[in-house]
Amino acid sequence: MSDRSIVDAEESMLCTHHSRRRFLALSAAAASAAGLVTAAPGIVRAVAPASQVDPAFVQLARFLTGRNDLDARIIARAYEALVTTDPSFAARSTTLARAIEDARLADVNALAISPLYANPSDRAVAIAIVSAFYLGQVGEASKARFIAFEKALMFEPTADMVPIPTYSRGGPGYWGKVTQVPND
Amino acid sequence: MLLIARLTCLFVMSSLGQAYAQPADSGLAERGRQLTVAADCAACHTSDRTKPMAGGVPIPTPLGTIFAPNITPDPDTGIGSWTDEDFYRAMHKGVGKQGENLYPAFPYEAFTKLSRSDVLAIKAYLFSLPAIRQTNLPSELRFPFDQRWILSVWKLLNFHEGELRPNPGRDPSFNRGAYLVEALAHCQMCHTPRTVTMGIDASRPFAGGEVGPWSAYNITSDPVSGVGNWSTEQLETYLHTGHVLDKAGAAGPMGDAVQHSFSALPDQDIHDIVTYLRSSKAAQDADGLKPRYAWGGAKEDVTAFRGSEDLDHPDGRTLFYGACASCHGIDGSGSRDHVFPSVFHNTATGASSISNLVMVILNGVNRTVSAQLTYMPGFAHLLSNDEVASIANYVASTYGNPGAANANAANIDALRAGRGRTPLIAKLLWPGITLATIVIAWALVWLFRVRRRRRSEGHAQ
Amino acid sequence: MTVYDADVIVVGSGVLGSVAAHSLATAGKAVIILEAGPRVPRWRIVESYRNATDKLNYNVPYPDQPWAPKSFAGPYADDYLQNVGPFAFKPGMLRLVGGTTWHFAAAAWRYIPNDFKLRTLYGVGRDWPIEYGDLEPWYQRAEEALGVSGSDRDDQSGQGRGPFPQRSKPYPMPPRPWSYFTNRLAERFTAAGYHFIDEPNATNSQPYDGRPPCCGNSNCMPVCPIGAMYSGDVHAYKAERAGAKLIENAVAYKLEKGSGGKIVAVHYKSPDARSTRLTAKHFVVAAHGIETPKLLLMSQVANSSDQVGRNLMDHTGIALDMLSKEALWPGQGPVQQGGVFDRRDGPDRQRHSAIKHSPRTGTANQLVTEPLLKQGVIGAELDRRIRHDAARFIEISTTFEVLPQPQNRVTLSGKTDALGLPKPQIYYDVDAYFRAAVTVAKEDYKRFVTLFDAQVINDDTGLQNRDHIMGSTIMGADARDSVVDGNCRTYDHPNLFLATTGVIPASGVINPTLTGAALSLRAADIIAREI
Repeated sequence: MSDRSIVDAEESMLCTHHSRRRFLALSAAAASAAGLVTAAPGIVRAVAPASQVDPAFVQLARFLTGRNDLDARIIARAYEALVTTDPSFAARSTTLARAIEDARLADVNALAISPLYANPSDRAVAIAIVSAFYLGQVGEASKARFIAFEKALMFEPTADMVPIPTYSRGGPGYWGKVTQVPND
Repeated sequence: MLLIARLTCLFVMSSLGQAYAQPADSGLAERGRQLTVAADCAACHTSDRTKPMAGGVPIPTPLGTIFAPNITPDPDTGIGSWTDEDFYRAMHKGVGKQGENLYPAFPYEAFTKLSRSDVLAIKAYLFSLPAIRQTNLPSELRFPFDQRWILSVWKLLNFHEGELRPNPGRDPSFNRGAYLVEALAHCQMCHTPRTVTMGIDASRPFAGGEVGPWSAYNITSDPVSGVGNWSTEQLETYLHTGHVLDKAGAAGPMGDAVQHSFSALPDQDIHDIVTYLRSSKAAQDADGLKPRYAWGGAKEDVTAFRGSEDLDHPDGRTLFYGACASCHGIDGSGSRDHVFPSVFHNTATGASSISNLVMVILNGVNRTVSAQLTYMPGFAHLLSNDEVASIANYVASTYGNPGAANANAANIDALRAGRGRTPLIAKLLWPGITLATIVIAWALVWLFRVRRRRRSEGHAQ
Repeated sequence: MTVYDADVIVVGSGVLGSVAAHSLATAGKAVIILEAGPRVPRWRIVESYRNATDKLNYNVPYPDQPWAPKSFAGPYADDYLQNVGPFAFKPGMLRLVGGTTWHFAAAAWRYIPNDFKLRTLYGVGRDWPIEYGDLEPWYQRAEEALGVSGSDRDDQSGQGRGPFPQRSKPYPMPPRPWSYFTNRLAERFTAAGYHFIDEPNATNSQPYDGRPPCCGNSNCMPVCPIGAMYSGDVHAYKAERAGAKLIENAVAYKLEKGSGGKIVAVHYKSPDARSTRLTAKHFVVAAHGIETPKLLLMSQVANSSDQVGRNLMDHTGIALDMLSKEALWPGQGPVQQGGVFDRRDGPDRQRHSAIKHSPRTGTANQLVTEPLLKQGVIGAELDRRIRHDAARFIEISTTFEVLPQPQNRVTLSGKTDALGLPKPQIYYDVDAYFRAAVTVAKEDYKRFVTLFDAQVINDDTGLQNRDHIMGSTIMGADARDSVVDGNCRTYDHPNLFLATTGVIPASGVINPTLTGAALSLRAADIIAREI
């Protein structure tokens, strides 16, 4: 039994590595096919189709953001941006995913208070992924890679009170009629 | 309240053709004022609100631009020298003081239905206004439409003189509504199609018409093509405020009519108008699939293009997001407080003609009713014809009636100039005249030859 | 008889050049406007912003052309301004039709009478050669041209007295409503004895001039998505519709001198470096406070005083970021609504700069989320903290008066751009008068933190650019130490006028755009009479 499970484990590890390598090769090809870096800021580069993103990353993204309805295309963009920015990201992301599974963490809130979150590499990967979805980009300022704007998660907690910049929340002067605000 | 009762009484009595005591002069002028609000005289006769009724509003017609005249009591440039008979003749017969035919852009097809006492009340009101010296601008009609004698032909074919008689088989609300609609508010002038001789098509009342570049929709009782599916309350709200949530907002000439006329009418008048309108026979549009207000829904897929737009070659979607979505919402649903309306469930995008949507993009919307402002800026200076057409087609396809998405950059110049379609009679006129001339010339030549032959034959014998 | 290409050539289609061009075109003059950058429609700027990653960098959504670099945020821009002093003087500056007001926040203050008499009253800096009363009718016209909404009741000198300064007519539009945030701030400041007043602003509070009223898109900078906020393209295109000829992608590089000290022509380069010469009777250079002295220096004109480029000023500033204890909810309504004006004027100006404190009322999501992520906050706590912090974020943006110092200057560097024209070189530093005010402002900050029971995020930002370029082509009564006279006419060339805030000799502490527009309209009137 134990022999068998080792073999299974090895096989499954091989499969994972294989599919991961295949994914990286594909995304590298896609990136080079997209051509040279454009001067225009933030142009989204061609990414691997959403269906080819490592499902483990998809799961990890949902876990860390606490949202099951993340758009697959945004997940794909985030993944591409993260692996391109940091060559070690793919491996470290797998490590984190596995550690979360092993620790049987129910959700991201459990992760935030678990000893796992004290591990610098795991912590950094988690924050990098969360940042990508919340800020809608990976990296700083003009060097950042664009992921989303209207769908950036940082706007959700305040959606009842303030607009996403450039969009309106009400008609002219609506804010002058607001006499009370929530204090949470 | 008393005034309304008196007004109603006078309507009923005058339409029954009975004699009645003349109220005191100031009462007459006040009644006249209310009638001019219902008839919205100011829409054409007041171009500057500080100079009421001094004329000057350009009225684009398919045959050129007509300028409404000064109807203040100025003796030289206005109607100060007009007698009661002169004024009645103008309203009832469409004939001016010099006996000249008036262009039916002045809706005497409707005003002919007014009672004599109402016509004189209107005159009394106009004569109570300050006399303003303002020379009338000459109308700019293309030959031969600037020849007034042509209107005699038009009148012969199309004009039916006569005061409106109430229908004894109908209740008072219907009859009052009929008078308000047919004699005063003249709805059919815009909302009824025209015949080939450019008269009102009496077989299809309220079945839809054009006002220059604007489309005046089918407002018959048809549930799909007309307003049959609107509740009475919604129709009344529309006339009172110009807006019905999730259905329609008045713009262009109807926006003006709501702001300056309908919103100022008493509740009973609005109710009567709706009663009458609901009784109109249903007329179906050829392409009526769904009611105009029933198309589309909230929709967005910003993720499909955000971060990867080709701004050098923008499509309708990119232009919509850049120029429209800031107010009309990422998903087209407008603002939370509905001050900016949704672009779906909106008759301007759901109608089978895209012209109103294009006109609103070009000219915006600006109406204030009961101190509530409804404002959309016009984009005429900010967008090219291609961009306007692109946006209109995107909005119609995505949020409205996809069948309407046929805006064409080439047509938009005409819409910018306030021109609509040229009617067939105008298109055919010159070819027709040419053909007629050739035929007549040929016939004269033939006749001449025949007579010469006959004479020479006669002489020969 | 000489044939000219135009009556007037205006170099620069920003607000100051465009209001002058429009004024002259409607007066029946033949006008050519030369704009270094391209025409760009608003929808494109809005989408560029939404597609960009560096959202708090307001230059980003705007074009950066090799022949017309902007001041930063682009491959040509980033190495354009050559700073050789201790301070990185890099104001926002744009090169496109409409100019830099595309991304201002439209504050539309007038200077007060004392601002015109800095030297006489306080013994520092320079006096203006004109007075408030001389400019007042054109302040009114500028407010009507731009469409300014403001309070007719405030004491804009910040002393809490009656309406001030004196106006010939009310503001064209009533003030924009205050948000809950602004009302609460005003209450607290007022209770503590400060004078918090409304900011008059060139943003519509009702439909005006075919443009919509503000609906609170919270994006005044870098671009008002709906055009409720004024920007220079309004008058650039109005001038064109009034008959002016607007030539874009035309970089003026030489003003040609003729006999009698007159300027006879302007030469401009197209992107392909082809040169064109245009003649006119009068010339207006409205190329912004850095490019205007650069053009004069390249042409070697208007500089008998040796002041061209010197006396460079900005309203250099600092900021305070804090989280108030109470939820205030910035982000509703426009991004600037009012300010604390107590230190705008008074005897303290003998010792230190005037000071203006202005809260920013834009949405704060990005500003609070970034630090939370850096701290490692994730999960439900992150959502909770974003909401909590965004509702409490107060940024006080402080600006200081700056004195004209001849060593602060724009000159021509040894580097050239794609057209072979010299890139601007800048030396800028602040003085003791300024630093004394910073100390006072920081004391104010301590009080503000207490006032709002706040947690400080950053009270030591260091010195910041404020994009208000003044002094670089200074106005004065004496031709020996000034570039232009009180009418913005250059002393050296009777038919050369400068329409730029670079003429302003005493910076005061308020945004100079409205003053620049007033001066520009006044100069246009003079030019119209002379042609």
